[in-house]
This record gives sequence, structure tokens and C-alpha cells, in this order.
Amino acid sequence: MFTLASMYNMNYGLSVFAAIAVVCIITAILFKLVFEKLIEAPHLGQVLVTVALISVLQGLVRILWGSEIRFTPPLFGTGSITVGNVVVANQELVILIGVIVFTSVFSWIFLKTNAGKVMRAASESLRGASLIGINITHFHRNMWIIGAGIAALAGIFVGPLISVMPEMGSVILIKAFAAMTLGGFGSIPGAFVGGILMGVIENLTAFYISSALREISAFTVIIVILLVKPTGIMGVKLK
Amino acid sequence: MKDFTKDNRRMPNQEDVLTIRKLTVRFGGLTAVDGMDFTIDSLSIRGVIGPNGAGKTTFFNAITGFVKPQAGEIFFQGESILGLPSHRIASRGIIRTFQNGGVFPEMSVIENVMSGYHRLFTSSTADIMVGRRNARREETEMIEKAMVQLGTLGLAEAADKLVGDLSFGQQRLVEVARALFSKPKILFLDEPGAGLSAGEKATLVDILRETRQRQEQYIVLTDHSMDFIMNICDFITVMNFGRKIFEGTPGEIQSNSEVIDAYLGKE
Amino acid sequence: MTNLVNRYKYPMLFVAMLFIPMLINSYTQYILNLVLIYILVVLGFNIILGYVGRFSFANAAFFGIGAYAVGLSMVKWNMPFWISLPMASFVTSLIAILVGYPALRLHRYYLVIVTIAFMSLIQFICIHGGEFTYGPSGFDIPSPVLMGFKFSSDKSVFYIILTVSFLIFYFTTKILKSKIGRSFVAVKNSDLAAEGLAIDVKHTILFAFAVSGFIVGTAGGLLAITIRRITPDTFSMGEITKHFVMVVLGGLGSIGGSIIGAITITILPEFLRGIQTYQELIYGVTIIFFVFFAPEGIYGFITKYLPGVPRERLYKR
Repeated sequence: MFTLASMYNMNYGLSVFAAIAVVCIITAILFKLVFEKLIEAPHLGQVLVTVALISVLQGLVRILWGSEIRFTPPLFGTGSITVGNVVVANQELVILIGVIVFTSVFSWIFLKTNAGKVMRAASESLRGASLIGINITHFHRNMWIIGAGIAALAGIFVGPLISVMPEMGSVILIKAFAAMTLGGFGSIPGAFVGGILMGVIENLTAFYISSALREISAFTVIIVILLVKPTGIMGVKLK
Repeated sequence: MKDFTKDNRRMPNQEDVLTIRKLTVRFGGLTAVDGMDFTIDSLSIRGVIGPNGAGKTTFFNAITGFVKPQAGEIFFQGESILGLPSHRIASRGIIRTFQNGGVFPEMSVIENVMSGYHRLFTSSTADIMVGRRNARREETEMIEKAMVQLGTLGLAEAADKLVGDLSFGQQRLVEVARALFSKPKILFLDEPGAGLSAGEKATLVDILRETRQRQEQYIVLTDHSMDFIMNICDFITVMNFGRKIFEGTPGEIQSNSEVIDAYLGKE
Repeated sequence: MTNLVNRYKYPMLFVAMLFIPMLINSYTQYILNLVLIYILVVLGFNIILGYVGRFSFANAAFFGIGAYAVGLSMVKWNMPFWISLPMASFVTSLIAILVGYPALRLHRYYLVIVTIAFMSLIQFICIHGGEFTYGPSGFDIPSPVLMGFKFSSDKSVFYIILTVSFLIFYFTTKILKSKIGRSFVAVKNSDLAAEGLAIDVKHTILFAFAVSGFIVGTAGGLLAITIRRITPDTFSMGEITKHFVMVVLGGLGSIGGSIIGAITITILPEFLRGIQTYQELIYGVTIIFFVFFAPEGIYGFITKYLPGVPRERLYKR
């Protein structure tokens, strides 16, 4: 199933955990209202609704918090540490550590726990999973909530680095697509690999070709990969 | 008109409409069609029967270009059509219907039937766009013919109904009507009776008989209902494991019924 | 008598509309211009999305390419409008064919992503094109000049837009209500069955893209002389969302639906003044509402439930 990077935008002033919790609750509500019906809907409907939701959420954020660009303070202040020749801002360090910790924890859950087994089973075969007694609707809902939560976390991490505004989701969306395409759809390690590769490609492009062209690397990657090998590096074939 | 109760098992030659030799289709390790020989040389309705998995649909797919055979020859009116894309084969007059129904659910009954005429249009895209007289005339004539066709099949009332709203059996009848509207030289019907009610089957038999009467095309069909096949076919080919294991008239099939039963089990 | 009216309904409507500028004010004229332009946009979008059923987000890209092609050629090369418009139409059509190639092979969800990426790529080029594309704030277009006459007002521009849009509309209707239109829907419903009826699926899809690109590119060119200022905003997600709302609200896969959708969404913001901030929210909610409760759109709803109105046909009765 088509997974869109969520359009959740972080707000100014809320604490990290509360923010993630709010996002998860909103997702659960949205699921009951919207996503549940999407499972059985025709394909075009699925795509349209997902796209429409971007507008809805962006619109809501705009109404609640206005359209101006805001600035979130970095999580551990504006200092930085220096490792050898490289200067790493505190925020970037937080992100680095956070992502590594998070991915490790998530991989552990995915591979070693029962909950993870459920995820792997369902991704192989929804029908088979339901035959063993896994509630598919709940599964979908939980996956959406987890995905949204992760996106929220990403938003929090990235907030201090880029301008916080209602459209920030759309900007990140393309890069997320690029990372997914590169790494391959339907593969969690692929997401990790894709993300890192995308970051590297983007910065190499900025450095060697031109810093103005760094954004273009995302689009180019998408187009090239999808034309050559749509399943990406580690992806699973879509039905 | 050829007497099709005579023995049709003779060497294929240039006059034959469709000659297939040693056709082989493999999917990975599985050989679905194994060295099939098949000839159509007389106006008749031919049946291809065999148990599930015997390779009948794959055989049809290979002839009509939906699957590429690994080996063998397919000659249609003297020319090889092996390896041609399916729409090319169709434009030469080999039309097929699909086992799971290939109707267009978002179009009405008459629009579906009209789609069959696609290969017979002579006016070009440019002609259509500017509304040249020849294009307009062709379209108008085609619409009339389509209404007539629907009339003869008893579907005139349903002309504007959305095909997606029809029952499966009715949809399949529309599909046959559409196929016939394309004036095929050979018509391949893949399990046309599947999913049809008794009444619809009777209509189908009438349609097929009437088509044979007019002697305009060859028909090859496959079905699981022995009654249906015996009733309508003049010549039957029996397949199993991708190979032809017997061929003959319904009478010959019946008198060899022990052989058939051994392979197929009682129907 | 009715037969006569029927045969000449297009020319009669055209002549009737020639008098409109005398009856309305300049601002309403401007809105009407936009309506006609967006009818073309939605029509072109419908060909790919509604008729052939491919999930291409590239419509906004085609729109913008048409606008930029006209604008740039007029500003940089002093090309007269009556040359630059057809040129833009053909260029957009060619680019659309290029986009059509991946549409042949790619799974539908992948096509969504590729076309979004394509749109963003074009947007990026226009924003950062510096000298060549005038950057993020766009540029101004001079008034078109035909045979010495300068079309500098909304009313005068209306005549150009009216003529061009009627022509395009006429030819498009001819295409859609013929074997070509039927082959579009056939490919959408079952490309296998279509192939089995001698329909060349590849050609059909590429032709659909070519036609759609031509129409939407022309609309873009007309936009250039209406709004007079072209910015990369034409390539934004906001713009394509607007196209989606129009298509979904009006009705997928029908000419009537395209008209209804275009008129409604172009006129609506005028009645709901001062809710700019609510706009995207409303668009999103509208799309979701229609997808769940009225997937056939307003036009589809009317033809389905009102006994007198028949489905739009793929042939001329």
C-alpha cells in the first residue's frame, strides 16, 4: 500500500512527547474517519484522498498557527562540537544519535518481538495474516499511527534546521519519496539505506556540482530510478 | 461447403487457414503447451477440451499473441504470426474472448459492441478530428450496424445500459456480440459458457449455430461442459498436459469414451 | 427547427457569446476568461485521468509549460502571439508524449511519484533558471498584437480566448465521441481486451498524452495573456490540487463534468471572499467528500439519478 510521508508539522512551543502524542491521536481519529474506508476504495480514490489530506492538514495548520515562517529553538541549544575537521551543530548531533537509536530500537522490535512478527507477516500476505487471527483493520490503523508518529518525530528533529511553516511537509515529501524510491518500497532497511544515500547524494551534488542544484538531486533520483529499476535497491514488487 | 463429418486428420497445407506446428510454451520450469499441432481448414466450430491445467487457455494465449511461445510455428493464411504483438494479430482477424470476461464495464452495451469495430475502420485519426465526410459516414453506418447486431442478439433494449451493471452471464454475451461485430476470421472463445445461466447458454448456442450457418468465420472454443461442447462443435481436440491426445468428431470422441475417461474422468 | 438548432448549436453559442463583453464589467470578464481557460485544463486532465485512467500529476506541469513557452517566446524573442501559442501547444504536446512513455510501463503508484517529481523538477528549473526563466517572482507578458490591433484589455483578450477555446473544444469533442474516445476508455477498463480487439494500447496512451498536452499547453498559453504575469506557482502542489478538485467535483471522464468542475471552482473563490487561508482546507475536504460520497462527480450524479439526463456517450447519436 502506498505510504505517503505524513504532512505533520511541528508547532512552536509544545514539548516533544506531547507533540508526538497529539499527532498519533489525530491519526487514530483520521483513520476511523477516512483511512478505514480507503482500504477497500478504488485505487484512484486512494491516491486522491491521500493527496487531499495533505491539503487538509496543511490548511488546518495554516488556520491554527498562521502562514508565517516560525523558528523552533534547537533541542540542546545552539552550541556545537568539533570532531577533527568537522563541526557538528548540537541539533545535528541530536538527530544523528536519535536516528541511530530509533532505527536500532525499531529494527529490534521488527525482528525480535511478536509485534514485529505481526508486521512482517502482514507485509507478506494480508490474507494469510488475517487467517491466523490478526485483525487487519487494527493492523492498518496501528501502522498508520506508527508511521505518523515517526514522521512527527522527523518533523521535530528537522524543525530547527529548516523553516517551520505549513508547507514544510510538501518540501520534505519529495525528498522522502526520493529516499523511498532509492531504497525500495516496502522495505524498512531499504528506507534506512535510501535515506542515508539520499542525504549523501544531495550533499555531494551541492558540493561538486552546484549548491543551487542540491534540490534537483531528489527529483532526478526519483525519475532515474523509476525509469530504470522501479523497485529500488531493496524493494518489494507492488501489486 | 465442406462436409465436416469426414475425417479431418490429414496433412496441413498452404490452403489451410490456421496451421500450428509443434507449439511449445514454457513458464519457468513448467511446460504449459507441449508440441501442439493444430489445423483449421474447414468451416466449422471446433472445440478444445481437457481438464483444468491442460493448457487450453495458454494455447489460446499463444495463438492470439498474449503469450510468446518458445518454439513452434503458427501460420495464418499462409503467413507466420508467431511473435507478433496481440493487437497486430487481432487486426488480421483473429479475435478472442476471455475466460474471466473482458468487457468494458464503464461503457454501455452498445459502446462495447462498437469497440469491436475498431479494426474495421478505414478512416484515419485526422479524418475523425476534422470531421471529414468519410469518417462521419463510417461512424454513422457502424452505429446502425451495431444496433442491428444487438437486435439479432436480443440485446437491443439494453443498448444504453452500463455493462458493469449487468450480470456476469449477460456481460459474457455482450463480449461475444462484440467479438462477432469485429467480423473475425477466426474467433477464439475461452470458456464462453462459464457463469452463464441455462437461458443465457441457450442464447449462446443459438448465436453460435447462426454464425456457423452464415459460414463467415471459424470458431474455436473451449469449455468445461461436455454437453455444451458435444452439442455445438463439429470437431473436437482433446488436450492434456499441454499435448494433443485425441482429435475427432463428437461421434468419434464418444466411441472412444473409455480413452477419454481414462484421461479426463467422467464429466 | 430543432434539428437545425442541434446541428449548429456550437456556432450559435459562439455568436451569442460574442456579445458578452458588452454586458459585463471588466472584472467579471476576467473571471470568465479564467473559466474558459480552466475548462480546457480540466478537459485535458480528464483525458488522461478520466478516459485513459492513468494517474498522472503532470497536468499542472503541462499548464505551466504552455504558459512559460508563450511568455518566454514573446518576451525574449518578440514572437507574435499567434505564432507562439501554437508553438507552445506543440511543445507541450511533445513533452506530454515523453511523460507518456513511463506511463506505459510503470505501476500506477510509481507513475504518481514520477509525475510529481517531474512537476517539481520543472518548477525548480523555472525558479532557478536565472536569466532564462526569470526566477521565482515570474515575469510580465506584453499584450498580444494581431494585425496591428493591441489586445490590452480583458474584454479584447476574451475574443482570442473564446475563439481558441471553442476550436479546441470542438476538436476534442470530435475525438472523444469516436473510436478514439472509445479506445481510451477501453484501454482504461482492460488493456488486454483492448489489445484483443486490435487496439494498439501503446499508441492509444501516447496519443492521449499528446492530445492532453496540446490542450492544457494551449490553456497555459491563454493564461499567459490573461493573467499577464507568469510565476512558478503554476507548478505547485496547490495548482494540481485545484485541478483535482475540478475534476473530481465535476465528474471524471466526461466533457460535461469538466465544464461543471471548471466553472464551479473558478467562480467559487469569488463568492467566498476573504477565506484565502481556508482555501486549501476546503479543496482537500471537497475531494475527500466527493471520493467517498459522489465519486462520479456532479455531472455523473446528475446523469445517474435524474431520469431525463442520459450518460455522456462515446459516440454521436
